Amino acid sequence: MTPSDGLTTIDAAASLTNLATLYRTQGRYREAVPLLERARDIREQALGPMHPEVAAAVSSLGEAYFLLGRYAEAEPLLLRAREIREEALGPEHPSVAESVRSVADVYCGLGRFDDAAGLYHEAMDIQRKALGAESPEMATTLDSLAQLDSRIGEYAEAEKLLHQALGIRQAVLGPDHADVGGTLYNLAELYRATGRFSEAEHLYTKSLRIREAALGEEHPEVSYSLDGLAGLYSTLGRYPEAIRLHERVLEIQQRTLEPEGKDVATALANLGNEYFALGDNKRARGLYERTLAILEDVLGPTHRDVAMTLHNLAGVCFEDGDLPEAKSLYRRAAEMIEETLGPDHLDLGWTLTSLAAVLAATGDSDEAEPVFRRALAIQERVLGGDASDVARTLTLMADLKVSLGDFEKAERLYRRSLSIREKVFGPNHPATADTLDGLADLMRRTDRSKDAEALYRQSIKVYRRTLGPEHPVLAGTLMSLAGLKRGDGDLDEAEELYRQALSIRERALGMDHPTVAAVLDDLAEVLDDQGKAGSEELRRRAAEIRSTPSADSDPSPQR
Amino acid sequence: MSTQITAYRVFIASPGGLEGERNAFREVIQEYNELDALERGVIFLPLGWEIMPGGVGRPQAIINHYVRQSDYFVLALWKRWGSAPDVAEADGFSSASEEEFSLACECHAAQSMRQIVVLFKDVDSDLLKDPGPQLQRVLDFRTSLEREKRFFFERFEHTAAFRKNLRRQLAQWVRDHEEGGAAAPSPGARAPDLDIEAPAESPDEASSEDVRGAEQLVKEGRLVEAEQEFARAVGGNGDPALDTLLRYGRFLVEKGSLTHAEDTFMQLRDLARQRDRPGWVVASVNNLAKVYIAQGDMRSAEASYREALELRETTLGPDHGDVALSLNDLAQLYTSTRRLDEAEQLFKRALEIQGVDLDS
Repeated sequence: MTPSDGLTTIDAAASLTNLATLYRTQGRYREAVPLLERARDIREQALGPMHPEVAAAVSSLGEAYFLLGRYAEAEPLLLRAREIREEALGPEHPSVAESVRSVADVYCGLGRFDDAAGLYHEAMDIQRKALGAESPEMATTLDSLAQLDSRIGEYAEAEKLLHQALGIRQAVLGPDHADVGGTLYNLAELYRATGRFSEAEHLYTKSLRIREAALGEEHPEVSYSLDGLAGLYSTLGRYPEAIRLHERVLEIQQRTLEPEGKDVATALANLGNEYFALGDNKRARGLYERTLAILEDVLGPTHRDVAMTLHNLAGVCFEDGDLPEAKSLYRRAAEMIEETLGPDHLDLGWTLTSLAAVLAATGDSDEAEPVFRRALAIQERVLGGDASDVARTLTLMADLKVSLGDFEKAERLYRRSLSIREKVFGPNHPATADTLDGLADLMRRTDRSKDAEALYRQSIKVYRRTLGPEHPVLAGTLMSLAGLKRGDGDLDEAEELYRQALSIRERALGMDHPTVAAVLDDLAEVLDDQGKAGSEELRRRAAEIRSTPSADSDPSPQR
Repeated sequence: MSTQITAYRVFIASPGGLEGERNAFREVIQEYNELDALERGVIFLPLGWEIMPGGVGRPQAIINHYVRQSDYFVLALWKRWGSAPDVAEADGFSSASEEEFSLACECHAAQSMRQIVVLFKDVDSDLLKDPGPQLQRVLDFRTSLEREKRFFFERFEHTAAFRKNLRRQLAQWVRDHEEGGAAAPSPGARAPDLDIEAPAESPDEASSEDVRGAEQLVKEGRLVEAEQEFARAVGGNGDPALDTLLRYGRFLVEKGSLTHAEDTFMQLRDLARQRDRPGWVVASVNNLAKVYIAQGDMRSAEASYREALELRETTLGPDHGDVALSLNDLAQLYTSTRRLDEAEQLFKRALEIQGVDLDS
């Protein structure tokens, strides 16, 4: 078809860019790229290389590459957009700040946090001069900087920045604007990460209410708030509620976004995480595999998010006892991250720690040790010695030492991990309780049962306070303490503790969950020890559960 | 558990005719207390003439006492300056609101009043053309604020906009409370940047002469006078020139008076139809669509863009480049209302007209 009269090629560039924007909102990033390339070429040809509209096209293209995780291609484009804008519009034009901010986003993605922070500050300086002390644009930059600070564990600073962004948005846009809902969501995420769960729940709900009122109930932004709330319920062990919300998220996103797009893939993975937490590995695996297929299609076969999905799948394999497969998946994930993000990236540190834990579990302690050390080196370099990523690695290293019988070293590692977690999260955080648990197990094995008991009780107290009295994690610690009391001959308390653990697991995981069978067996033995009746019935139930294939069990009995 | 809550008194002064705003004032403060302020340790107490116990008719002296106690002062004005209170006349004040405002200024200077906010409701261009003495007083007052920049002032279109503005101020005041800082009024969102279209054809009427003066006043930042000048140009004898209306509409959009801009572009569309000028009809309905979008009225925006599309198809033929522009507008609207499949189809049709083969 030939262009008819009235046509100017430059108009076609606008159509191409707008169609690309549509694809972008749908998460169809790959399809956006060729359109944006053509729009850029058309504009360059018509307007010359230094026109602001060329800068806009180059910048959109760079952002599409950024969303695809192709940082090496994104960076030069975004830098060029900045250069054109500086030259054509002057160095203090607000659109220069936009360019600077998007370059900073790329550095964040690459884990170059210092460079990114410097650029965010540069962007804010420009925005302050061009738009005044308080503008929505400035609030966006503050949000990004806060996310960076959260990422590297500077939670106090992040909180300060988010409050600043919130204040600006409330005052400039009004307290019921959709963007206010966005900042409240970010703040809720921060509270969740730092264990301030009731504040987090309050803010997720508030963010949800504002977004629903401003955008309608069927909007992707509404689904993000629901997703955050679901994640919180999951952290708190309220899995059935979490699953219900995740399903609602999927429903909204499949209707309003590309059904085979990145957001939907993330929602599928999150739903998978719930089933994984409930021990329904089969369903979790199915969801992760769907996630993987979509992400490989949308983002290409080598991308951080693809690697993270492999990481999830490896977790399922590990739980299923398929250690070789878990090992190979973690390795693939690590290689992919190193290839795309470089050898010093935090995500690599995280994955290497997981890999090392599997190696340790397969008995390859000689192989595990150097991998742990490499992870630790990355984490200490990027975050300093006292960050939560470091604590995670130290805890898993300590587990390895325990299995090797090196209790002295294990204890030192647990204690270091504990002091980091207490410093980062405070004493009342489930992660702190996790380490207390590990340390208590160690004490029990080294015959310091008084110390062990005190630590278990402390950990139970923290779990109850932070996760509530019904969380399945609590059942595990109650059982450990019950075992200890039984060893000490305090059978009455042991029986009581097993009964508590049983009721938690039955309620949270379902009457037929395999871990329920384990409690039934232990409880039966304590009853026998005491010469009480009823152990037969318990054993019969346990056997019944075991004879039922776990995959057929109803994963969410409360629905 | 007892909680420490700080109370701030907010006084509203306004002459008659703004009953809706005064009710909104009370409601918004109550809503905001419940939604956000109380949770952050603040409560706002609304004060004003008819909000006081005892109702209308209390002596001005008592009202003045409340003004002195207030932390924030809101003055809302529209067409009227207000009538003289019986007692205040002797003090040389021409209205109760004026007396309250003057007292608030004293308190502000003495730093017992944290902030003064003046809000003007938009006035129809018909009235501006020939304001009576009451409106003229309001306009003069606004001109003096514009010149002196002593206090924060802003305009608003209707009660909903007044509510929104007030909520923004309240949010800012809570923030000032939290940060313990000196109050800086919230400037609010910038007027939307709507990129108002003019038809490609040059205006053949002897036009725009009458608005040159008004546009010059805009450049000098003398907006009150500019608005009156525009009102006279548009409301002169006979129908105004198309270009005059377009420029007036653009002025209204730039200052954020979207309801009046909407009326103006409708008038432009009707005149262009009468005079059989399809290019001008298209420009006016496209501008209308942009105003509707800025107001969040997507349904009306769609109808306007559709009208432009159909008019271009019939006058220029279905494959004309301008038809592609209309398809593009409509598709962008569908993108923002999340009718994504329809949007994609329209973009593809536009690109086909524009000679871009997506498969190559």
